[in-house]
Amino acid sequence: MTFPALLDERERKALAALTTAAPEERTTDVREFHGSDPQANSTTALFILPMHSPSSGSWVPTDPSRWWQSMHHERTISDVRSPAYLAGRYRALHTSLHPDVLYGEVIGRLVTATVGLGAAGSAIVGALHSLCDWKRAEEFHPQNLQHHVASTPAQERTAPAAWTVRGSAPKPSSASPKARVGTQGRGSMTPLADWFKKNKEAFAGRWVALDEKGQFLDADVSRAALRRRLLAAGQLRGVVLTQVPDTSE
Amino acid sequence: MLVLQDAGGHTPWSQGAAGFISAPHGNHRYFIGVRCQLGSQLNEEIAQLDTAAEWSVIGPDVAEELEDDLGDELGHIQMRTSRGLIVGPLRRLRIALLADEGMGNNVDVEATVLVAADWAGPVMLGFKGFLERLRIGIDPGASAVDEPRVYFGSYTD
Repeated sequence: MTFPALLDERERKALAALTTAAPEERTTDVREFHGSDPQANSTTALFILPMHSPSSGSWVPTDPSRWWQSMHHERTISDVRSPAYLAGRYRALHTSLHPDVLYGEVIGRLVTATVGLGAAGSAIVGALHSLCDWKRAEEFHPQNLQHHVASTPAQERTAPAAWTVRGSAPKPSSASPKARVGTQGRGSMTPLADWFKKNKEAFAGRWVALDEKGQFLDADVSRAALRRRLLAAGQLRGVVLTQVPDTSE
Repeated sequence: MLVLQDAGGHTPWSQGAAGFISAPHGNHRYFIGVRCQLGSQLNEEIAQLDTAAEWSVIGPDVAEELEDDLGDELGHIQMRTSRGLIVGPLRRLRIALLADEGMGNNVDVEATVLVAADWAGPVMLGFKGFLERLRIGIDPGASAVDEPRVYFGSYTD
């Protein structure tokens, strides 16, 4: 299931508004929790929390335990795991906190997706990770959350008490994929740089194909046309395609 | 290969290195133009390595060639550039920084790039989703004996 198919038009617009805002202009923040239920088998859930209402300008309570308890109050773990319950509860919570429920709906749907869709949900969470401002991540450090749970009377933390936070502090998704060492290097930039020095004015603005020794193969104003010719001639592999800087501008 | 020396001893810092092209004139300003390979493409590119660019960017021509390599859309963003505001989806794409012969190994990065339909510039390698996922050092080759060179490596943890 793809991202657009999951959301309706209104939600897509809301998410687009969220994602296209510059970081300094963003008024909604997103956070992630990892929860586990020791009495059930390896239950893990992700909760993405909006922190601020963009239209009303009011802050949603930032105390994670309030969300935690609101999400799970008087519910069993199995109920909590239900995507339908999560989405419904999340929407109700937002409605009660401020009139602008749009972001809550979007995020609620995404929570549903995360819990119910496996890999597809993870992809959506990955998209939202790119929006996160992790400067305040320490607020949600598992240790801080555990401290709150430990200091809250048992009768006030029915279902939440059964949940413990596990794992390390949240990290931006961008930190997870690392670079890998690939194959041994071949070719060199030096002959290409030499070609540029000698020919950049003659080929300004055009796409050129150079082999690894800096030998000129072909040129065109269209990258696609140049590429098609090289492919047809069996010359594309290892060739450098680049557009020569246009010195006229 | 660069080696990091600290109290714990010596550890490899980079696995590959390559020269870069610098043509600071005109429309496509290759301040630091590096060789790279995008996805499964047969050919190589010269991409602009720009530590000040928020995201890496590819234009429509390159995106069309790489359609099978690009991951699902991860949401749309807009980005301010020297050529104005550009918009488009973020998508996953494997990018290999290519080492020169005899200068170690290439480094592959599972990058996230902005696919901008109205981007007419060169492939840009920016910070988020690319540079933040590898180690990179730049030697401008300012002395008489040094060549301009970028050093790159993966994290070992």
